[in-house]
This record gives sequence, structure tokens and C-alpha cells, in this order.
Amino acid sequence: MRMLNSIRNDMKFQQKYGFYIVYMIITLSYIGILLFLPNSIRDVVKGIILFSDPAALGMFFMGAIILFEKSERVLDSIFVSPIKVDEYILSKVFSLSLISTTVGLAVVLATKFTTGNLVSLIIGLMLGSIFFSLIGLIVAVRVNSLNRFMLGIIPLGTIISFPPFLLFFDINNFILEIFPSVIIMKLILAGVGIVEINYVYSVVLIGWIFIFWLWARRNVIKMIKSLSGI
Amino acid sequence: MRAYVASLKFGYRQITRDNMLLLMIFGPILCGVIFKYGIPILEEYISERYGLGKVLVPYYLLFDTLLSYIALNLICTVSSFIILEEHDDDVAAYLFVTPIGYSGYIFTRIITPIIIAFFLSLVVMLFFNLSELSFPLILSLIFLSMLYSAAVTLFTVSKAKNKVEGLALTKLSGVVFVGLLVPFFVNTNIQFLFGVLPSFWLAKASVSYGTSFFIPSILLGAICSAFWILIFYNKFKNKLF
Repeated sequence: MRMLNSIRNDMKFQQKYGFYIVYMIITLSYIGILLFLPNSIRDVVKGIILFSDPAALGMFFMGAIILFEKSERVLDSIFVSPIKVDEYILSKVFSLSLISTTVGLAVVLATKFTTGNLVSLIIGLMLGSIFFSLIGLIVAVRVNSLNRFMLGIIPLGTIISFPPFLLFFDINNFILEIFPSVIIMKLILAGVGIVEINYVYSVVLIGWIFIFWLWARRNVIKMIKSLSGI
Repeated sequence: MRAYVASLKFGYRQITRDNMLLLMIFGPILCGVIFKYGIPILEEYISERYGLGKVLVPYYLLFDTLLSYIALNLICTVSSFIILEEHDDDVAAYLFVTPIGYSGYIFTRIITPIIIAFFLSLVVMLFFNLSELSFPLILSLIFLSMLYSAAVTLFTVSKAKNKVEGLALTKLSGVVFVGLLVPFFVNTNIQFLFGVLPSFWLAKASVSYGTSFFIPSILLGAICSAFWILIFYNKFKNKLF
């Protein structure tokens, strides 16, 4: 129940600050652009768009959310409540992943979903969003300004997001195959019908999420300690 | 004057404190290098791999137009984040009661960064443009990009109540970017439906260079951006007072 309330509150927060309206407009724009593209390249562009925006949206928004909670001293109230650190993280990443998945599905379904694998798409968007949101969280809890957050997240985001694009150049090896963002891209590309997916890689991705979760958890605990002056 | 200098120093300190200056300078240069050397490599790869003709070459002008806006966009995004932080921390309110006032605040937080970005854009465009653009076209594109960036910055800071909304609106302002694609892909008069977007006129000026529609494109682009600047300048003023 506490968990559900926490998720509901995070969703209310996202609605209040215009996330849903913004993403509705962005979704319509993506659909418009994709419908305008020739069929031959539409699916590839769709895959790239889904990977670089809905899947990765949490990476940027997490920064703004955490910094806002810090500046408004919301965190002090949250952490004197019975909510646990894991619940706090789960509520944030899950609510953001709902936006990612909804936007991604809307884009795919509105632009003719034909031979793609819908299950793979949903897994890719959901796990991808959780992974990128955790990265946003890891950076956000360590900084105190939006610009400093950007300075941390842009290089990190670029390094993490670059390897999947090597797939388009037929560059592939074992290290790339187990790289988290490559798995996310493959799941999404399978979702739009470009590649076949081996679900074993989803398990590897869950392993990565677990590692990043522990990292985020450690950073959030440090942040709480610094807030309480310990 | 001393108040302006003090306000500029304050803004400069915020940027250097966060090492943002590095990102602001090297970000556009890095983009320029990637555009100048990466895109031709990509073109060659696509041609060889898929046995196609020139796939990206027809759009080199589009990449150049995009490049003219990147430095300005980056610096203006940083400025809008500084303004939003100052607003969240209530620093802005204190600045307005100093001799700087509202117009001075806008000058030090938006106009000065845009002037600096102009020179950075000029360097990036001169060294890294793909289509060997003429100097008058480069200047025209940067001029329109300056007005476009000012409109986008004022849109973000006037509409956002805090940094969360600011980030969401920065994302939304990316949608305006669609206008940049229209003159390159839509040949009929339907394209003018996008004439309300400053980005449309930036691209229109690019594709019209050498034709009789070049000067009108620049004028209409300037009017379009000025219109949005005026609206959001007043909205931001109303929001603060």
C-alpha cells in the first residue's frame, strides 16, 4: 500500500510539472515525423528514436526531480516517513518507466505495428527506462545544480548510448552483446521487427540493473546522511 | 555599468564553478568535428555497404544549418538553467531591486551569452561547415539562430515555474526543431504552415540562398522570432513582478 501511494505521488508530481503534456506533444511529433518517412527507413529511425528518447527520458528527468526535491527540502520529509530507500528508488524509476513504455507503444502502434515483437518492445522500454533512470539518479544525488548535473550526465550518457549504434555498422562482439545499452537497443529493434532477440540477454540486462540499483542505493543513502548532517 | 559588470561576474562565476564553461566551448567544437569528419565517413560507409549513391550529401546543408544553431542552443540552455536556479533560490528577486533591474538582468543572462555564442558559432561554422558555405550565408544563419535561441530561452524561463518544468520545457522546445526539416523535405506550399516556427525560417534561408527568396526568408525569420521574443519577454516580466 505504501509503495502504491509512493508511486501515485510520484505520478502526481510528474503530472503537476507537465511531464505528461510535454510527452503527449513529443509523441505526436514523433508519430508525425515517422509517418512522413519512407517505409524503407521508418523502422530503423523508429528504433533509434525509441532508444534515444522514451527509453532514456528518465536519465534527464531524474536529475530535475531529485534537484527539485533537494532544493524544496522534500527529501527531509520523505526520509523521516516510514518509506524505505528501495521503495523511494522503485517508485521513481517505475513511474518514469510507465511514461517511457506508454510513449513507446503509442509511437509504434500509431506508425503501423506489423512484424515486430510487442513483448520485446515492452521489456526493452521498461527495463531500458529503469536502467537509464538509475544512471540519472546516481549522478543527481551527487550534485547540487542543474548545470552540474548536465555536465555529469551528458558525457556519461554519450559513453553509454554510443555502443548500440555500432550495431548499424555490423560491428558486434561478446563485450558489445552484454553491454546494457546494446541489449536495450536490441530489444527495441526486435520490437519494431528489425532483429531477432534472444531473451537470455534480458536476464543479463536485469543483472546490470541490479548492479546499478545497488550503486544508486548507496548514493541515496549517502545523500540522506549528508542531509541529516551525519 | 558597474552593476552590469557585477551581475556578469556573478553569472560567470556560476558557469565556471560548475565547469560549464568547458562544455559550452568544447561542446560545439566537438559537434563541429563530428559533423565535419564523421558525416563524410558515414556517407562513405553507407554508399559502400548498401551500394547506394549519395545518401547524406544532399543534406549537408541541413547539417550545416543545424550546426549554426548548436553553439547558441547549448549556451542558451545553460543560461536558462542559471535563470531557473536563480529563480528557485530567490536570487533573481534580489537582483531586480539592484540598479540592474529587469532589462539589465535579461541583458546579462540572455543577451550577453548570445553575443558570446555568436563568436563561437562563427568559428565553428567557418572551420567545420560541410558545404563550403559563403560568409554572407554563415552570418545570416547565425543571425537567425541568435534570435531563435533568444526566443527559446525566454519561452523556457517564462513558462517554467521551477527547474523540473524548465527541463520538461527544454525538451518540448526541441519539438520546434521539426521546422528545420520542413524546407528540406516538403516542396509544396504546405511547408509555410510551419512558418510560425523560427526554425522553419532558419532552414528556409539556407535552401533559398542564391534565390530571390533569400532576403525575404531572413526578414520573415527575424520577424517570426521577434514576435515570440516579445511575447515571452513580457510573460517573463509578468511572472517575476
